[in-house]
Amino acid sequence: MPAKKMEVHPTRRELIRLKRRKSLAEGIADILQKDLETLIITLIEFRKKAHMCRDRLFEKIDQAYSSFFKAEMITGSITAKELSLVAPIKEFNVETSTTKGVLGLPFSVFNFVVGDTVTKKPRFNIAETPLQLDEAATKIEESIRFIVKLAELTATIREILELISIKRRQINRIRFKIIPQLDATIRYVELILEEIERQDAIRVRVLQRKRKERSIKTI
Amino acid sequence: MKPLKYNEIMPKVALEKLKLMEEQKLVDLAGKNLVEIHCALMESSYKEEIVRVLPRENDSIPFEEALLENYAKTLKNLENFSSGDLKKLIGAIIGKIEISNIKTLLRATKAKMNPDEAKSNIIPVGILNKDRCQDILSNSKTIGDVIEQLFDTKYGVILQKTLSDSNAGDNLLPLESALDQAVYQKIQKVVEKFKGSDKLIAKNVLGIEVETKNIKIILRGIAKGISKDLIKKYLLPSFFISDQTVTNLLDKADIKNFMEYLLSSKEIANNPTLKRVFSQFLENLGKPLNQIEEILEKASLKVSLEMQKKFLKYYNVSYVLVLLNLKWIEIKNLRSIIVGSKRKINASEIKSILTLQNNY
Repeated sequence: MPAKKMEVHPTRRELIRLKRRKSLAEGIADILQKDLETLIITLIEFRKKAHMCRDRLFEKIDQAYSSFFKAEMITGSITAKELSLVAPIKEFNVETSTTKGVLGLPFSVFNFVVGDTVTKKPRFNIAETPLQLDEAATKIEESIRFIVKLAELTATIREILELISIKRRQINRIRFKIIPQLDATIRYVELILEEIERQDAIRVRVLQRKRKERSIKTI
Repeated sequence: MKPLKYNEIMPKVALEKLKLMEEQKLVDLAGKNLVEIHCALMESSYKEEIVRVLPRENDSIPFEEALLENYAKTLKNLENFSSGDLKKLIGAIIGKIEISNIKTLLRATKAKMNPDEAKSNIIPVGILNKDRCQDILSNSKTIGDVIEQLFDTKYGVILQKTLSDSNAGDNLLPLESALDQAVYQKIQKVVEKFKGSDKLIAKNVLGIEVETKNIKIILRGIAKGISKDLIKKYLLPSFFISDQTVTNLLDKADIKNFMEYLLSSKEIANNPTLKRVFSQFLENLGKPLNQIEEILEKASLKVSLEMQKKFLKYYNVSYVLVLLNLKWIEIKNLRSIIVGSKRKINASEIKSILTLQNNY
């Protein structure tokens, strides 16, 4: 679909103004393109981090399950369940804040905070709990840390993706709407100016011819 | 020599020992599915209990229940056929099962578990049978309710006193610790009544069980950064190691110093059996804590087998203690195989958890 031209006065001054606006739009599009590239690079980095974090999370969960199954094998499944269910609850919280990231974008920061109420007390009856149950609990805690980290990375990735889509929309608007519109308007103004020039030239030639005829008559 | 008190029990012990599964047969079960394990158990001494609980496919709990019921039956048999001090000793050992049942009641109530599920973890021997446990679970909403219903037993008072003294609130550890301490004090009292080689055997076998449990508590407590005073509260009444040695052991920062100090202490240095067992740990110092704990867990069986070899000539308490240890280890091994099968753990990993003869 051809771009719709703007309503402007077809003057030379307007033409210069339009050309200036076009070069400014191209400049902005270039800057936005560079921002977009930076965001994409950051996105790739965060995606890699998230991927690594997810791998570590799966590894920890795998280890936790393996330890828990070993504990179950040693104590019996019901005892393992009993011991797990009655262990004092470990209080933890996730504190959220923001930090300035790439292009001044506010990135979410999630901090895993463990309450220290039970850290120095045994959570299980040591005499009859296999070490594997303790290990499973520790691995699960580590897994939760990775889950929080992964949530932080996912939130950042989402923010970057949102900004990328905004930037892409802006670039597309400039490249495929504003610049073609300016081009069409410039072409229109140039056409009109050429037409005026042609008319002026004819008018001059007619005037010259009339002046010539008048001077011949006078002689 | 054949002391009178062993007249009736020894044939029973021999019979029960014959009923134990062959080790190779047991190892071969590792990695098999529950149907195959079911078939194997139907050809063993567990048949009666397996038929009674009718295990469902892919559910390990009925199998575990059957194993525990079989263990209860063995203990009841031994208690019925024993007399005198030996009967008291078996009674005191049954006390360990009783408190395990009480712990199940307390935990199940706190965790609001389904009474039927919790019931399958009850070993029906001693003061609590399954029906009574179910009644207690159905009528109890809090730990206090459970304790109230146990007032007619010797444990009710202990639990009530601990609950009011410790301000434990919902924490079950002080209660469990008080129960453990009461039972091991009782065992210690009964062992002291034995005479001659029986006393030596019982003291060494049951004493090493307590000492290894205490060492496990200290090592894990130190590793977890738990305060010395708190660790001391959870220790069981020691058979050999004095309070002063325990206090000094708690100051040791690493396992090597800990074991060296333990071996040099006069209590261990004067007891060749204990010294031999604990010297083994010095060779395994580089190993992770869970492997050291595995060695500690096997110490009681190792000592009982040593005692049996040493006093082979006469009937003595070591035969009974060896049987009890072997039976419990067989149950634990079968349980590991069954749970491993339910969780689809590979055979080699299951085998690594089993306690086998060649490892003693």
